[in-house]
Amino acid sequence: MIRHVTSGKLRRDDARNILGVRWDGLQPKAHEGLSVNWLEFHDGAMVDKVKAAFDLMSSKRNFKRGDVLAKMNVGTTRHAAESSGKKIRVVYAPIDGNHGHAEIRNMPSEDEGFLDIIASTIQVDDCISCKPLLELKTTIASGEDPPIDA
Amino acid sequence: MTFALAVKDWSSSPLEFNAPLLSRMGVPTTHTAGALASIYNENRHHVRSNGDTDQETNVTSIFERQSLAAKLYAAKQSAKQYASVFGSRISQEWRKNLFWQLDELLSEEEWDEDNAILDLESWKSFLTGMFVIRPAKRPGIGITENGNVVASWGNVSEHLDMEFRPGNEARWVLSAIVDAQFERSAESGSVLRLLERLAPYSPERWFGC
Repeated sequence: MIRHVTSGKLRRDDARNILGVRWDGLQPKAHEGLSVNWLEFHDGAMVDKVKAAFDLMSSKRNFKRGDVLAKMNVGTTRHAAESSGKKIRVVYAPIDGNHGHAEIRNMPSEDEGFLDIIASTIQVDDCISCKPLLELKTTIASGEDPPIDA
Repeated sequence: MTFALAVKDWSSSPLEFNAPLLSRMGVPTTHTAGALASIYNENRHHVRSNGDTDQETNVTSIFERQSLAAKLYAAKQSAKQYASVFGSRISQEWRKNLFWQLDELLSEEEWDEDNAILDLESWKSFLTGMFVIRPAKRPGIGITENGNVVASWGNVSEHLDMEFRPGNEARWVLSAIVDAQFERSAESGSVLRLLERLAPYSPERWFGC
């Protein structure tokens, strides 16, 4: 699954290099599930799945160049939650305009310690910059041919 | 206070603006009357004609959008001015880095509209915290949804994220390996006692001092 994390909720060093996701990057609104997208909803290689998920998420979310899509593994996330004595549920929850939408339920929105444990399962390499995805989208919208390596 | 007071006679052209009042409402003072009229005209399709209240609401939102850049700029300037005066013990090099980070954080194109603008009182607490800690490793900074400064140190497995709240209060979340045991903690307390509170976790792992 994949989670949109805004730039301000990323852990960065003083050179603005991304070090990971802060706990509040995974903080759901009170009494709501944590909004994610189900990557396996899409076919193809990982890069194609991410692009397709980004397109679906774009219909509902305003992405900025500094944001990331954070890849999360369902099993790892569940295991981390269980090690803290909490049981989470990952459910497919399609919404209008985003049929790949899913939710992580039973995430306590005010428990920073727990959310930090879940955030710690996301490695730096799991953070996919939105910048090239936005640039690709702009290029396609303008009618130009996308670069071969995009 | 509404724009009905600031913008007179909706139907007439050209519009008349009460510049001092607009200025007090946060509309950039650099906008000339012509620029204000232009903004209004570009966005007038948003303005419905079924009553003054709707018009006021819609015109207000037009100017709110326009004034985001001004608000971010004002927040940056206030924070930098405060750091320059209050933070005289911060080296010039570090201050330059902090200002650069602020510019990045508070850039209009990166700003998340759902977030509150930087709270100057939180920024003051952050600077106080830096005097207390005097970290050799400088933190990366972020801003929470409610406008508080967050300083981060460390990597995914051993990290410290500290939110600075107004009034020299801090809330921190940490993970560290202590005596071969993985420890995590979420606590809060006075910025003035940060080093004592963090001492059991050997904070030099994050601060480098």
